[in-house]
Amino acid sequence: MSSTLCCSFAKNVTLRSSDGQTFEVEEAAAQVSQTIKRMIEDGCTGSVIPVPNLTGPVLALVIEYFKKHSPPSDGCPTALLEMEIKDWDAKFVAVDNDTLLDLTLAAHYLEIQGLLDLTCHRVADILNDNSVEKIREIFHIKNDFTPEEEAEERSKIQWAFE
Amino acid sequence: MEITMQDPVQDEDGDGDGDGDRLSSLPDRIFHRIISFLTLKDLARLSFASRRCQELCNSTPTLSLSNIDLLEPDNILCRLSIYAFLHTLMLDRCSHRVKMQSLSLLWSFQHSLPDEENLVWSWLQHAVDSGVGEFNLDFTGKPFSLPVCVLGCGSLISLVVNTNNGVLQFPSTLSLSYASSSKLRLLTLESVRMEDDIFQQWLPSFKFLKALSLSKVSGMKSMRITSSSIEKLRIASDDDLCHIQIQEVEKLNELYIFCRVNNCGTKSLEISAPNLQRFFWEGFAVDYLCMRSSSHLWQATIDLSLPADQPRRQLR
Repeated sequence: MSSTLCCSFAKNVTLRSSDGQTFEVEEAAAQVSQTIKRMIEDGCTGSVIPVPNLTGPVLALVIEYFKKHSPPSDGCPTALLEMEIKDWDAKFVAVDNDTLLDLTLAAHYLEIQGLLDLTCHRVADILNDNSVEKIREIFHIKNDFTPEEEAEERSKIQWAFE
Repeated sequence: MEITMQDPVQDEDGDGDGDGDRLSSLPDRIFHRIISFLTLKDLARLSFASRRCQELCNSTPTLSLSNIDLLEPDNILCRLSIYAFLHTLMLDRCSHRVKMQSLSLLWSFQHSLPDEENLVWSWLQHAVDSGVGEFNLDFTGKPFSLPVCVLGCGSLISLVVNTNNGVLQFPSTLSLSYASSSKLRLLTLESVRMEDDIFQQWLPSFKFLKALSLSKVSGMKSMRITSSSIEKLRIASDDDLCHIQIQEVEKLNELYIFCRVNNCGTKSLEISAPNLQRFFWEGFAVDYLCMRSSSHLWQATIDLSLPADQPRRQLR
């Protein structure tokens, strides 16, 4: 079958995280990242590609994302497949906030547009769903307004609290 | 091997306070991307979280403002304070010379305050002054006359206007010379009602216009399109548009026409496009068709049905 043929030819690349963990992943899948794609095109295959901005656990997650989003070997993605991926994406970013921000930064560094949109959307949803106090707590944001300033600011945007 | 990635350091950015506020220390670009998904209300609340958040919210290059979900017709106070907030926001952006990439306004003028229109117009002017590249304007409740500053904006690439079937006016042709500085490439008019053909007089002045899309344009019985630059044209109408003339469009290579005009009376379609490559035409047949088309045409899809009264047809 064409798929087995394809697999036997599939090349792998090795990615190394900031803490020295290495991961092997199919070249086609890793090219979901524009940064890695450029490196492969520049002839870096065979060597280990260091990813110094990502720790092992984050890189492992990103590789999961690669695998799910690598272009299907047999032609166009179907609507059903797209829906399944959408579901998978939603579950993928239902993680704790630190991991979510790690993934956001990873998407930024590795230029993974789909993942960046996904994570930014998820962060926006969290901001939508919570009060200011809760937002400060969730993201460890220090309120550096003086009490007077805070009272003044709050009175200005009372409409946003209703 | 000397392959490394750029951007090695990120977290420790100087102002580190203990266990770090990771959200506000994200690169500005990412933070701005996140807030591009927020509603006005959420943006206002977030800007209240800390000074850094406020600064980041105020400096976003893509601003999307809507009053639709905030309106309670009789709550004037609420309305006033929203405007005060936005006014301060704009002033702050002005004083910090924040660039504006795109401005989206989804605005209802129903039950509006006396000066509201001027206020909204001042935001458009502000966006123009800040080098806006994209306008997405969706207005309800008032006829909208496109300000000259928008049409003459040298940085504007894309303009989308939807008036939800309200009247859209173009400035008088006396101000046509302003358009000479326009670099507009994409123009989309949706659900607009146009009462005169000033639009047609304006069109040839957009020398860089590549794509024009007219969806649910009503109020015009006949439409004449001429442009030396457009490559793609889409016309969709189910109102009273009966006569379409597309002429002097040397660069036009894609043309889509969807017309289901139901009123009686004769209908005509005249096309003279020497470089047309793709042509899609769907809707009701016309009484008079004149197509001086090109030798480049390689794809034509025509799917026509007959309106209730039986048509006579001439083909030339």
